[in-house]
Amino acid sequence: MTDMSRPGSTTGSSPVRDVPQDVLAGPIIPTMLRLALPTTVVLVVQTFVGVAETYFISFLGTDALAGVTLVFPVLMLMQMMSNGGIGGGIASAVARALALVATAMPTRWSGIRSFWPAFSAPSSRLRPFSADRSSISRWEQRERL
Amino acid sequence: MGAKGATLTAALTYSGIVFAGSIPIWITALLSSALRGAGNVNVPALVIFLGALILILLSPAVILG
Repeated sequence: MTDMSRPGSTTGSSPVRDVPQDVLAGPIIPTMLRLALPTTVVLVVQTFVGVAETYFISFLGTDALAGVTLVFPVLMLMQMMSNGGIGGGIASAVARALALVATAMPTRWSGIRSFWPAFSAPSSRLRPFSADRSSISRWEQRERL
Repeated sequence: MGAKGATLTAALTYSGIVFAGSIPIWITALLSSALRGAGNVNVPALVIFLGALILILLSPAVILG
């Protein structure tokens, strides 16, 4: 992890190959807004689907509508636990692990090298998995051979 | 939760059916979160959008019989 400035060698099957470049080394606010847009649109679409379903259920009568409305908060809690709670944690862990691998690996992107000093302090503190340091040093040893 | 009679029956039937699908819901949510974390936000959005489209088309037939 010390020789970040040496010219990068491209490997064929790196885990960060498919990550968009601006996610790893782009401006933060525009990238976040661009990443948030599809998910926001999906949430709006899901809301309209719920409204349409409630409209269809209303044809079945008051009892069916009341029963579905009774279950709805529990269902919503489960969905938000999977999507927002644990899903947000998974997205964060995957993103931080990819950033760590991308900054530890010499790649063809020169932007990452300028990105590295700014990110090195938080990423060493917020390392998502404790095994990362050893796995990356093993990776680097393999890379040097 | 204060429900009686036909409302309770409808709620129990609906929750039995809808929570039977909770495992696919969790799998979809966790896999799409992993994709979002990897910077690919379009594939989960597309999958959920197609699911919503199928749901809108099918739900009148399924709900109203």
